[in-house]
Amino acid sequence: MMNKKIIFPIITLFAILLIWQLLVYFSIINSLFLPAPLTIAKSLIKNTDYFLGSIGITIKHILIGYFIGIGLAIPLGLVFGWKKNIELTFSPIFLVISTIPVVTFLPIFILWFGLNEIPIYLCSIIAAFFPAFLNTFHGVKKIDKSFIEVAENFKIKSINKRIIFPASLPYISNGLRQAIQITFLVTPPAEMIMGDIGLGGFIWKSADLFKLELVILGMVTLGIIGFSLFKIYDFIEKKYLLKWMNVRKDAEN
Amino acid sequence: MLKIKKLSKSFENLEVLRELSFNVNEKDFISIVGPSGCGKTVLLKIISGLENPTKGEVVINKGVNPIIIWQDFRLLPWRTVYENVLLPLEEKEIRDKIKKVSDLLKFIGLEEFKDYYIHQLSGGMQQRVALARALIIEPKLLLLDEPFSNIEWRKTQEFYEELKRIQEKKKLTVIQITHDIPNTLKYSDKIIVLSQRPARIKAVFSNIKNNEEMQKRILNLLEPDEEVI
Repeated sequence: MMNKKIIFPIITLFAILLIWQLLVYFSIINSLFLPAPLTIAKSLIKNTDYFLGSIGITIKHILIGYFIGIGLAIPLGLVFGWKKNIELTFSPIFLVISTIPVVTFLPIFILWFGLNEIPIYLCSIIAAFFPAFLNTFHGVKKIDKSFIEVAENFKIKSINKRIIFPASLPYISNGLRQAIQITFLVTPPAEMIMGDIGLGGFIWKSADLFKLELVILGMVTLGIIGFSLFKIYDFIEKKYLLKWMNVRKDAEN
Repeated sequence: MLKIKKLSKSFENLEVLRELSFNVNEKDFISIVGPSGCGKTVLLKIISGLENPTKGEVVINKGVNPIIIWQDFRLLPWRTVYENVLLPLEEKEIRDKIKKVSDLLKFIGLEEFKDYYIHQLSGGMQQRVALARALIIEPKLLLLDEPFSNIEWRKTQEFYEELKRIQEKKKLTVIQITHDIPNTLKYSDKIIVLSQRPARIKAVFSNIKNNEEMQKRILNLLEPDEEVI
């Protein structure tokens, strides 16, 4: 069964690549606008260093932005959820800011901080922050109050740590997943706008030079990075964050 | 160990309890019966200190920390059986917590399930976990909120027997809210019958065990209300 799961998609992938290669080979598609797979592979070998360097930079932008973003979002979300007055005071402002498309912050960040990596990091941080913040905040508000009564009955002092945080973890985790998705969507375009940096810059610059094989290479690579990040997140969630939700119900007796 | 004096409770305009007074002695097994929704759970919360009475008072002996076993158990789903039972001890500075929990799980018969999560257990087993979690801090007074409404009737008998065994051994005082009249007659030292809301004490019965005359009187008193339910 496991074999089919792996083999079938690989067959499909090779079939597509083969048809693509043939279409270009027989000039049904103009190779200027869609280079053949083999051309792309060759260009990868020629530009390995530049390409790998760009991958590293993009992953660095995504991960640093992500961890700073969620690092700010979770504590703030918890506080907003617990403290009614803070929620009332600040949540309208936060909600408005959260709806602004993140990339539109870039011009103002460039004016403030210059043409360097800081504007990209800031966009990644904002991209990660809001989904994590909003989900944490809603999670805390939706907590089953009966758990808090249990803790009070046992005279437990650190209710936040023992009840509120773990009880809202399913929501927080949902926020962390959205955060990685949105950070991933926002970071490469920010790099494109900034120019020669990361995979976004790699793609933009290659298009400028009309090297479409490198553009496609960059796009496919981003797809693979995104897919891997989401899979890694799923694994962490299942194995650690929400282990209890993923345990089979098999102890009935 | 516990004296309830003219206790009343209202929520805004809704009067729930009206001038309840009764005493509870050590090692009593007391059952409170009455129509659904008459405010019995509120009474348990007031005794445990989770709610304040509107009028009247609850006088509890020093060092008695009443623990509620909730109708829906309220076990923490993100914790294993072991971790749930450990919860009340986590902030306490005592030695051998791990051994204490293990011993209790053995005593309650849950040892082999200690690493299971709550949703993996049957209702009856969840109830035993809830009981273990309450017993781990060695409370003197246990408050049970309709303890048997979420488990099969067959298991109810077993649980009562177990509760009695534990009560003897740990010198517990038990107050339970219940609709299970047959078992209530069999096990209770005292039965307090409440009226419709606002709940008042309709009658208090003692010396019930093996007293058929008394049991008949209780059944007669309960019947009209049971029909209302």
